[in-house]
Amino acid sequence: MSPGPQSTPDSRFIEALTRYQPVLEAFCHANLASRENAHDVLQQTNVKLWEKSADWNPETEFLPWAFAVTRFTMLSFFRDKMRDRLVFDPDVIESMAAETETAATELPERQEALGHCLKKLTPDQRGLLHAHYTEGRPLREIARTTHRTESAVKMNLLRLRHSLGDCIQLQLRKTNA
Amino acid sequence: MNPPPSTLEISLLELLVSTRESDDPRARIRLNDLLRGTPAARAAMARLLVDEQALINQLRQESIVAMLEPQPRFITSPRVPTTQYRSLGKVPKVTRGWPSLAAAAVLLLSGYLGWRALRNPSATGVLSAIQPVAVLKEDVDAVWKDPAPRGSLVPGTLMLESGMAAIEFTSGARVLLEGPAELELVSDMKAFCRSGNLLVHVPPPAIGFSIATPSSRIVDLGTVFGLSVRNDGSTLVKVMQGEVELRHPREVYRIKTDAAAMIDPCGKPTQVKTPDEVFPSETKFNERIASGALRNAARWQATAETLAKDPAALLSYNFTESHHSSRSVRNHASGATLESHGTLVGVGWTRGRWPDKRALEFNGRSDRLLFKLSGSAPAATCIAWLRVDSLPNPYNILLMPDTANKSALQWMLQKSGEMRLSLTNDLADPATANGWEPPVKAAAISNLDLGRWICLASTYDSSTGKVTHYRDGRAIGTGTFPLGLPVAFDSFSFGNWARSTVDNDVDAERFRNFVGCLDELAILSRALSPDEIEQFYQIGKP
Repeated sequence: MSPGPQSTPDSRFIEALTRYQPVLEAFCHANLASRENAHDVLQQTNVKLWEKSADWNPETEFLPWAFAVTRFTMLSFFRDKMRDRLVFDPDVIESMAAETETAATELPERQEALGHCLKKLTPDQRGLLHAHYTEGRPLREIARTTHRTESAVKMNLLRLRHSLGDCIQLQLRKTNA
Repeated sequence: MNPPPSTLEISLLELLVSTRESDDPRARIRLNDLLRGTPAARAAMARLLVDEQALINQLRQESIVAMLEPQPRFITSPRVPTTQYRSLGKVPKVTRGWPSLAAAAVLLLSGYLGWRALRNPSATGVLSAIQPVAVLKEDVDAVWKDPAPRGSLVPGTLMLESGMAAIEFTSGARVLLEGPAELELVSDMKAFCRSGNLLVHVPPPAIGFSIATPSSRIVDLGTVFGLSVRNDGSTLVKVMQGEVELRHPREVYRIKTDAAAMIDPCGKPTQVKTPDEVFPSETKFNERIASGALRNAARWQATAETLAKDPAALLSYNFTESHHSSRSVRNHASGATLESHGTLVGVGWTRGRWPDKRALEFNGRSDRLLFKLSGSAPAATCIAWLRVDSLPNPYNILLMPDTANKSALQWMLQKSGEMRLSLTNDLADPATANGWEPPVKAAAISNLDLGRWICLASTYDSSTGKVTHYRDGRAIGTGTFPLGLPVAFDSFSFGNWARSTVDNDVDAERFRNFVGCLDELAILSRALSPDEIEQFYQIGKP
């Protein structure tokens, strides 16, 4: 009897799925710009990938196939979600397709570069990033706790993100030189 | 024409932040239009978001590593440099006489878990990664430019429009500030004063503490000195005791006891004579505190009965009636029953928020205050003025119900400084977690709050299931009891297990006694509004 679609995925699939989890997460984040939405879509995508694991030919690249499945999952996610709860309109997401794939694939290098850049930050710059991005605190709340105005905190964050972006580019150039 | 790449990135980031943070749909529309129209914007946006994910991953990994580190990081936290200091030019490095004594003292006082509360992001709502550098010890007649600071202070600017305030840096330095003044806290060893009058007291652990002004930088060598920074940037400095170093980009001057100098806006000092009275003094501050306390006490007294007269008030203890020997406390709520007057077990009397106001002191393992309420209601509020002296147990009980009853409220402080509210259901034995609604928690206190009077409140409304926690009149966290059960009021114990609970077990988990003081406690059968809670705090603040 030939194995059906429900058969246990092959170890090469499991290895690829585990290895590319961070890239898939970054891909979802780049399309949705929201941690919660990205998390939901990634979960649903993992289930779909698992179900469809037999469709993947381990001789071919994993990521293009997984990106396609993720897009498919996002379409059903948009149908269930109010449009105003999304950061980007579906047509914008579609027009960004090539850019999000390229950027997400670069995640490992960019993260390594960022690791070097973060070492240069002062404790309170790091604190701001931690509060906003890992703890998910709104800027208004950070402003209140640190006795600053919201616009001052926002400006700090924008400057910080901008200089981190520059630093990442510089690190990447150094590595590739 | 396309904007240059850096401006484009800033615009994209700005629109992204605005889309996420505000309800205004315009930012979202502009962001999407920009992306539709510019291929460069699409590539930049994708990179920004992937970098954001990288940032989240990286910080997450670091905080896991930090949690596993055996040493508290804030003992050796690096000082935070700021541009104001850089603009004053390079100055010789000052070594501190007692490098980490003050920090060690803070650690000893706060205990290991206070430290954990500050560091563990999930265990606290204070900005855990930004460390407090000072505490606002007291203020009097203070009008702050919004938002008014309270408790522990992280690096940032304090703007005092009028009144006085005492700020104690974690290094040990104490600054008396007289408004109008603008003081930026840079680190536990540095501040920048843009304007205002100050008195600075620097004990041995904080030698090297420095204050920069627009025209100078003053490094303390273990002294008391006064500082007056005018709006034009000129600075008057007088040393009352000890010695300070006045650092100019090119020269260093020393000023000794009783000497004073006027520093012009360019940083050039001239010796002058000036009386001590020009600067704030501890005596003046204490006098204002004392008269302020009398006024506050009178204001509170005049309104203390308002809450007790609220038709929904089931309990109102304000300890204004009892004598020192009395072992019971009166419930001032208008519909008070005999059983609702409290019985003291082990609890002693102490000084309350004001000199002649009394409060209950909970010290012993068995100390508690017992009372019984009756009836049930669709909502409830527990509100108290407390002084938490330590959090010795994993759970430190504020209100413990008789758990044999369904829908009974439980109010506690965890060792981490979180306050939590829960409610028994009848799905399972209350000795197990399933017998309770999932507790709603909020970070309420950090180690710097121990020993201070604070106002804690929690409200619950069964129509929505919503629980809100408040600290000093401000909401600090919300959550939901999913079953939306009404609240049943019955026997309660404040500060310890309920009478019915066996507490002779030697297991440390079994000790749940509260250690600290209670100056006011009220329970209502409705959820007070945020405004009412703010008002309760404002009227009652010492």
